[in-house]
Amino acid sequence: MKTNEYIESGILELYVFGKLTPAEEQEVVARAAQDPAIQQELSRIEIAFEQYALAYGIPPPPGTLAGILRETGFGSGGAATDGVTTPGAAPVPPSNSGSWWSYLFAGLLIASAVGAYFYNNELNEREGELTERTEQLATLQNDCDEVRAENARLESTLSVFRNTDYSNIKMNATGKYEENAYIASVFYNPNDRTAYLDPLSLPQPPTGKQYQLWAIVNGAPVDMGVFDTQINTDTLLQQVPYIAEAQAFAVTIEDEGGVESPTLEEMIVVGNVS
Amino acid sequence: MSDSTTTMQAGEEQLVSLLQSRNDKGLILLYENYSAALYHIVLRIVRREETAQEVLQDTFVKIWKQSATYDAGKGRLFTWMSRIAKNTAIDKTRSKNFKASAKTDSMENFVSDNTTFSTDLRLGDSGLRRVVGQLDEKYHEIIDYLYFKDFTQSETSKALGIPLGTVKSRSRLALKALRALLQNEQFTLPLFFILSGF
Repeated sequence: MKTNEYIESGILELYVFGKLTPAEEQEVVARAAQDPAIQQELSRIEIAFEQYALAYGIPPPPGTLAGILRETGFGSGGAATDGVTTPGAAPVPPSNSGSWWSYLFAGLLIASAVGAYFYNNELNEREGELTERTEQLATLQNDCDEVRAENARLESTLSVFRNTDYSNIKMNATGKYEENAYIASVFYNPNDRTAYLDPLSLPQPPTGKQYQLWAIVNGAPVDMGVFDTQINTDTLLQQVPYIAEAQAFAVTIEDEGGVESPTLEEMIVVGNVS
Repeated sequence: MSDSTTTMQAGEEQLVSLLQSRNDKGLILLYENYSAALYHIVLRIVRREETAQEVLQDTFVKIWKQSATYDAGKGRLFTWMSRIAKNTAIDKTRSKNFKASAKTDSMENFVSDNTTFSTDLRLGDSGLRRVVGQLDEKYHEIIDYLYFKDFTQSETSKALGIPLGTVKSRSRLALKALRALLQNEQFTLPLFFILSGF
């Protein structure tokens, strides 16, 4: 991976969060040692995160420092400073009295500080805009990758639909489920011996239950496996085992993991191969 | 940015050399600057103040004893220290004592793990927090789950209901947004000190 892609992938952030495997951590350390750009980015991430952690610090209970000093052999020496000082406070310089040149100097300093302030604000604004654009670009790139992957999945689904070698065996609701009008389909291709299941309008199975697909061959059921109905673009079509000479397909509702022979009264849809 | 990075690194080098020369000033300085941040990390894991205090003490003793093994080439001092703090806290939660007392303790003795940053944490550095607090809630959330709650990437993805890959990319965006906020503030703070000096 190129330096820039590596940096933008987010792996350095996960390194700082301690979320990488030992192998990935070693890779980060090795790449940072070789590549100054990675090293610099890493320490900027570390500094920013450090500021975050400092901002949300919670002062420990009094007496903690004293305990530490005792255990490290410094005895009672620094106990008095425990929990009193404020980190980051800058000392205030003594104020100047009197002489005219000190006022002049002060005026000049204020004027130049104000100038620098406005110049710097402008600069910060530009940099802020740039960061925002970079973020937008990363987000769009992310979306674009997702859409591309989804498109590839849909195209492969479409290729099944458009392939005339597949016959679409529609399964209709049956038995006690008949009035619900559920439908599902099996796409069946004897030429290259493949089959797909489309769960179409099957509802979520009850908790602890799963759907099981069967082929009927010479009047006997052959197990084609269990499936879930959580339909998203990943699982629009699910490939299922190809069973030769199937005369019909059916779906039953079974305990999770499936059963050896179908529970006929729990048959929800069935369809004959024409 | 590079100026302040250099300043921060110079400060850190001094601190490390104090520590490595076994000067107790180094230890006290370290405590004053980092104890609150490390205490927060530890408290979120062990969730009991008394235990957290004990873990924090052990952490500082370890930092002191192991300071010679700290290698600035592998990362900043705080990253190194916070790992020691986290590991010490996690070890504590795995100990028999902790498990036994966790069972008998009533829940009120625990710090709620649902604490979010936007609410009522006692604050270490309120100026810094004002800046960092502007961070988008979803970025706070991802840092909170991955770092402070110590969830794995896939646990975080489930808890937040986002794809696994987004955990990584959102971490990146979170840190970028955080850096932008910090960068925007940097000039105004020192300027304030100059002006207030007169």
